[in-house]
Amino acid sequence: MLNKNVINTFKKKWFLIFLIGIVIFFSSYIYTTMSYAIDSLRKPTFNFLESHRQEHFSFEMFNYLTEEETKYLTEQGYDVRNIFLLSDLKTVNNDLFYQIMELRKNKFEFNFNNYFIELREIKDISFVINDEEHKGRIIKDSNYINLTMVEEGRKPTELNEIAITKIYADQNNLGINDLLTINNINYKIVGFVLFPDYTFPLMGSNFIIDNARQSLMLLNDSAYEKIVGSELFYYAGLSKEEFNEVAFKKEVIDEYRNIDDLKFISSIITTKNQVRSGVIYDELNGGKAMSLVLSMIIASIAIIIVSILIHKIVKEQRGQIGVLKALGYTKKEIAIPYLIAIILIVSPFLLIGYLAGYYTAPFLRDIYLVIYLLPVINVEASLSIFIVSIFIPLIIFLILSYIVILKILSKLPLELLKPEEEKKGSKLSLLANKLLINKKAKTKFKYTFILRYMSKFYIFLWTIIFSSILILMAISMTNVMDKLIYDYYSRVDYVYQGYIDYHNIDKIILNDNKEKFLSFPDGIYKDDRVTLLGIRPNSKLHSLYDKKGNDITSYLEEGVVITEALNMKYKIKPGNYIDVEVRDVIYNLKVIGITEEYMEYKIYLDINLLSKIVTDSDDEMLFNGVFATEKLNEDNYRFIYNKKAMIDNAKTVTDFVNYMLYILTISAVSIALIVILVLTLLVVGDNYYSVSLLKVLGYNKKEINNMILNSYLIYSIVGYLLSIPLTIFIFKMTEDYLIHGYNMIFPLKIELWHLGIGFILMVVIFYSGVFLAKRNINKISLQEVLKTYRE
Amino acid sequence: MSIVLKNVSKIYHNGEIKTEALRKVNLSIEDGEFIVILGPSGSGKSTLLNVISGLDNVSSGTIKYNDKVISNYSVEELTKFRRKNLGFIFQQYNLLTNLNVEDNVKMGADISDNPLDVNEILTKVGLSGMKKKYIYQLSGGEQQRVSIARSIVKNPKILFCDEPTGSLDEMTARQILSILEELNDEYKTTMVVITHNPNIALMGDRVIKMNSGNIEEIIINKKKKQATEINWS
Repeated sequence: MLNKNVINTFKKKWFLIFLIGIVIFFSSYIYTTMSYAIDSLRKPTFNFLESHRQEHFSFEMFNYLTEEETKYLTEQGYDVRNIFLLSDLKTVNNDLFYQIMELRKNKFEFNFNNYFIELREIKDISFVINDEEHKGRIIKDSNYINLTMVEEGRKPTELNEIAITKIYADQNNLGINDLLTINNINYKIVGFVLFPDYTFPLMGSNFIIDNARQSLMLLNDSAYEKIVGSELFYYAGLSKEEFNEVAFKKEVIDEYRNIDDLKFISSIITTKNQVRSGVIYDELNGGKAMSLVLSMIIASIAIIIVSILIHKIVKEQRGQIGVLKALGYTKKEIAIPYLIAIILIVSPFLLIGYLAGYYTAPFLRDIYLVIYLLPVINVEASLSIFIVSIFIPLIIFLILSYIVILKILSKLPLELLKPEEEKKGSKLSLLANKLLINKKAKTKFKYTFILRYMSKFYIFLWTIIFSSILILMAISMTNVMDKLIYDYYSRVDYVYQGYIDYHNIDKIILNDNKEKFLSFPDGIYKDDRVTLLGIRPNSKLHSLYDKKGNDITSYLEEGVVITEALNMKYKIKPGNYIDVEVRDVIYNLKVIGITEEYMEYKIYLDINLLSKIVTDSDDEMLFNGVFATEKLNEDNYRFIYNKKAMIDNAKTVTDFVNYMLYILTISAVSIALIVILVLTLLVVGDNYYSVSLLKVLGYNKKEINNMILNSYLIYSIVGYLLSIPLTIFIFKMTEDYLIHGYNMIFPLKIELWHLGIGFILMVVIFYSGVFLAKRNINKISLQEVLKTYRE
Repeated sequence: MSIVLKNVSKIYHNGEIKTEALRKVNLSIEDGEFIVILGPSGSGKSTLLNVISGLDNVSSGTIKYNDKVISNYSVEELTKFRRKNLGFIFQQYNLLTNLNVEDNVKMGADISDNPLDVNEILTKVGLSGMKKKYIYQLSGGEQQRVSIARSIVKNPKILFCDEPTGSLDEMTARQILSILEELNDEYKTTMVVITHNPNIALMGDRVIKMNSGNIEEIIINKKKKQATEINWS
C-alpha cells in the first residue's frame, strides 16, 4: 500500500519528473555516445600508431644548404652557387641531395645516439576534378618509421598506380581499380592507405582540411620522383628505447641549437606536440575526459534537482510519515517505497539515454572521420560504459535521495505531526534584505525569496553559468574560422599565388595584374620558425590591415608588420624591436604594425629589404613568387594557390566546427530551458500559499509574476555576467594551451556583439522557461490561503 | 460600505456529486458593523466569507457593495476591488518568511491608495519593538498580530477574519480580539468574523448562525461584550 501511495504522489508530478528525466537522459546520452564513438576509434588508432611505428618526434629543416654543406659540395666538384633551396638541389641533382641528407642524418644520430631518424619526403600537388581544384599530399613510402598502413587493396608497385585515403575515395565515388587523373596522367587506384604521422591531415599553416577535396597519396618511389609538385622534407625519429618526453626535451630539444653541426634544423617537435600526428591523442583522450566531465555536470544538476524534488515530496507528506511512524513503521519500511519510485523514474531515462547514445555513436564517430584519418572498428557494447552510464548515476541518485529522506524520517512522530517551525532565512537572504533596506517591501520580497531556497538558488545559478559559458563559447566560435581563413583571403586582392620554379625565373613577365613577392620561410624568432614575406609597401594585391580595418601596407616603408598570430604568442607591440635570425645572422627589426592574420607566424617586410637580407645585401630585386589576378602559367611555377579553392576547401572544416557549435548551443539552451522551467515550477509550488495570499491581498497578475518569477531574471543576468570572465578564462587557457602545446593559433575572442546575442538568448531562454510557470501561478486559487498550511 | 446578498447560492461539483454549500442566502451588512458568523464545521460559514469577499464566485444570486454588484465582476475587477476595499485575517498567518515584521506589514501598505501609518499600526498591535524581527523569531500570537497589522494598514473598509484565534491560546486570543475590537471602534472598519466559538459571538453587533448552507438565525446583540469580558471555557 505504501508503494502505491508513493507512486501516486509521484504521478501527480509527472510533468516535472518528465522534465527532470530529459536532463537525466542528456547526461547518460552524452557520456554513452561520446564514449562509444571515441572507443571505436581509440583502440584501433592506438594499435595502428604503435604497430606502424609512429614517429616519436620529427624535425624540420631550413630549406637551404648550410655554409658547410655548400663547401662540402664545392669540394666534391659541384657548382652550387645558384642553388637557392634544398628542394631545388634535388631537382638539379638527386644524388647530391641524398648525400646531403645522409650527412645530416649521420650528424644527428652521432650527436644523439639514443635516437634514429629517417627522411620523410613529401610532394604537394594540385589537380582538377569536375572543375574543382583538388589537392594531394604524396608521401614517399618509408622503411622504418611512419610505416604506411594499407586499409584495403595494396601499395602501388607500378608507375601508373596510386593509393589514396578511403574517405577521399568515398567522397568522390572512387573505388579500387578506378582511375584518378592527375595532371593528364591516369593513375589506377590500387589501395586505400593511412599514415601514422598524418592522422590529422593538415597540409599547411592554415586550417584547411577537406578530405573530400584533398587526399594523402602513395605512389611507388619512381612515380613519386617523377611527379611534379612542391616538395618538402623533414626527418621523423624514433627512440631506441622507450620514449621519454621529458628526457628527450632535456637531451635533444634544449641542446640541438648549441651544436654547430646541426644548424640545418629549424625546429624539433615531439609527436604529442605536433598537430598532424599528436592532436589525435588530445582529441581521443580529451574527448573521453570531456564526455565524462560534461555528463557529470549535467548529471549533478539532475541529481540535485531530484533531491530537491524528493525533499519537497517528503516534506509535503511529513504528516503522513508522522502517522506511519506513530503506527510503528520503521524508517526502512517508509523509505523503501520512495527509493523504488526513484529507481522506476530514473532508470528508464538513463536506459533510453544509454540506448540512444549507443545507436547514435557511429554517427558521431563518422563526424570525427570527416576531419581525422583513422582506422575504425564497429561500435561494440561495453560493460564498463553501461555501468558508468546507468548504474553509477543510479546509485548516486539513490544515496542522495536516501540521505534527504532520512533527514525527515529521523524526526520523532510527534515532531512530524506538528506543523514545521519557521526556519531562519539564509545568510544571503539576510544580506540581500540589508542591501535593499530602503527599497519597497515588494522589491525586498522579490529579490530575497529565492534566496530562502539556497539549494535551488545554487543549482539555478550554476546551470545559468554552465549554459551561458557553453552558449558564449558557441557564439564566439562561430567566426573563428572566418578569422582564421576567410578574413585573410577576403582582404587580399590577388586571386592566384604562384611560387616560381627556379629554372623558369626568366620567363616571368610582370604586368599590372601581377605583383612580385619574396617568401623566406626559414627565419627564426625566439623559439619559432617564422616566414618573412617581402611585398611592396604600395602593394595593391596584398594589402595589410590592422584590427580596426585600417590599411597599414605603407608602414613597410618604416619597418616591419607582424601577424596577429606572432603577437598572440610573444605579445609584441608596435614600436618594439625584434631580433630575427636569417641564415645565422641576427637582424634587429622595428615592428610598426600588426596585421589581423592568424594563420601563420609571419613578418611582412619591404620586398627590397628582405631581398637584401636573404642575399646578404647583394641583390635588391630578388623575388620567388607572384601574386596575380590573372591565371598563371603552370609551367613556370612550382606551385600555384588559387584563393577560391582555398576558401572552398575551408568549407568542410568550417561546416564541421559549425555543426559541433550547433550541437553545443542546442544542448546548452535545452538544459538551461529545462532547468529554469523545473526550478520555477518548483518555486511556484513552494510559494503556492504566498501566491494565493498575494492574490487575496489584491496584488494583480502582473505584480505577482513580477515578484515570483522575475526575481530570477536578475539572478540569470548575474549568472550570465559571471559566465563572461569564466568563458574568457577558458578561452585564454585554451589559446595558451594550443599556442604552447601545438604552436596552433586559435583566436578565441569574445566581442561585444557576442555578449549582446548571448544576453538576448539568455533572456529569451529565461522567459520561455518561466512561461509555463506563469500559467501555474495563474491557476493558483484564492482559497488556498485558507487551507491549513505552514511552510 | 454596506453589503447586500440576494439569493446567493454556491454549489460545488465533485465528479457526479453535487454539494450545495450555500442555499439562497439573503443578508445585509451595514457600514462599521461587527458581524460574527457562527456555525459548526461544514455549515457553510467559510463559503459565505469566500463569496462575500469575492474570493470565490457565486453559483447564483447577487452580492452588492453599496450600489456595485461584484458577483459578476471579472477576476481582474475583483482583484482591484479587494485591493481597494478589503482586508483579510486567517487562522494561519500566511506571512512572508523572508521579510521582517515591518516589511510584511508594508506588503499591505504598498498596494493601498490610502494606507495607514505602518509604525502607528505596529504600535497599535503591540509590535513596535519587533519591527526588524523575522517571522521565525515570533510566537504564534505575535505572528497573528503581524497578519492583522498587514490587513489593517491597507485601511480597508471591510475586514474579513476567518477563525482568527483558532490557533491561539486563550490569553493571546483575547489580546487579538481586543485589537480587532479597537480597530472596529477607532477606524469604523466593518468586521466580518467567522468562528465556531459561541463565546466570541457575544462580541458582535449581530451574529449570523449558519447551518447546512442556510442562515439559521440572526441574533442581534443588544449589549456587546468586550473581549476581556468573554467567558472562554
